[in-house]
Amino acid sequence: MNRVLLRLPLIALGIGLVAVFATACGSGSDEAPAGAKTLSFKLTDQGCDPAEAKVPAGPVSFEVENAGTSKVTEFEVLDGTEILGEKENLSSGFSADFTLTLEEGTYTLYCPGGENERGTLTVTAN
Amino acid sequence: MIPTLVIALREGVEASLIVGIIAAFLVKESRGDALRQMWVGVAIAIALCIGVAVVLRVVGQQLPQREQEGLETVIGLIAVTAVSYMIVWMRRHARSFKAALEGSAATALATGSTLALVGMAFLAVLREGFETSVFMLAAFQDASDTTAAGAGAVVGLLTALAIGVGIYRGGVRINLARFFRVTGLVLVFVAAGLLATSLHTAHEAGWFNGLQSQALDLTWLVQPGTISGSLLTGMLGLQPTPTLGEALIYAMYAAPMAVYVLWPDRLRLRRAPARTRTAPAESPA
Repeated sequence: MNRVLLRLPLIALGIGLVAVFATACGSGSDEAPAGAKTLSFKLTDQGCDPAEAKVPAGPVSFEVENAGTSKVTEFEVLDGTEILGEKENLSSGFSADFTLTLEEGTYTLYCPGGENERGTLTVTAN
Repeated sequence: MIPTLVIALREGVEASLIVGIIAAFLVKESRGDALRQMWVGVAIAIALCIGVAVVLRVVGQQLPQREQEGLETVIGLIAVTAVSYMIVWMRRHARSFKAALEGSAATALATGSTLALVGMAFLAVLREGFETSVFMLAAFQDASDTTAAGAGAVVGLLTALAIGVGIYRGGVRINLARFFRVTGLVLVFVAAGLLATSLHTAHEAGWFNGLQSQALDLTWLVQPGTISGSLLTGMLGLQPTPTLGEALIYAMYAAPMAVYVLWPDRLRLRRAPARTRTAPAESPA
């Protein structure tokens, strides 16, 4: 029985290594392609700043920074109810970025906890 | 300091709660030998998470958010199963706790179940560990005031650890038979919270997009950015604005399980024959 119990940490290590590889491979898609438009947002007590944004269709790089609020720590881009991209646990001063390829349409910017939680992102035709 | 404290506390408590419960359960159910294996697993998980976070920072990559949420969802569902198993196990053996001495073979967990719980503790740390490690590194490097942010994050994490230790110590001392209904009910709400949280992370993983309208406004209770809010979210899975799906799945789990835990012994259907039906000449066993 001792041998069985000792194998468990090794199995755990194996699972862990798989997780590491999955993580490493997954993060390759974070790279913003050349020519991506950049939108910068700040998290404030009011929510997403700016709350309205417009960008042409194609790859869009979202740069988010917490400008000193403790109420809002998350930034999401939604298409209806589907979350296309998000960053969370953004404490005061933290920043993060992610890239999405967006088609023409209207999307929601969501900064939960802010006074005005939801904003609009309009993606225009190219 | 508080902003990073509450995040580290919430993330940490989500892991230390499960580990504390499992550790106490293993000791109570006479599998203290598995406890050491559990700590080894937890240590490996912590090392893995720190390692991944450091590698990500060195390489300049961010944690892949969708995959992280997917991992949290899968492990969250496994955790619901584990806690449910503990509740049912405690219910079934509540009567024999009174009859048999603690430590007897009759109440000991089977080896398979023990290994499953040890594995669960490892997974529970992994579930929050990656995000927490990445967050801790960011607190010391990215924050506008890294000293306050770093200190807050460390205090939050240490508090989460203390809570886990407290749960373990309290759980070991508690008389499960006498306090089963109380501890069982608490576990029901922990599991219901885990289930609702798993639906929340499933949405963030892009797996579930239905029933997303806001069902309740709990911001009066679960105040974002506060210590109480982070404890309520971390330990009981309560969100400030739960969606319809989250509220439904919470109720659908909590209601029947609470009834199961609270159901009086006398009314339980039992296969054993009632003693009153035996012939008067026979003496009770």
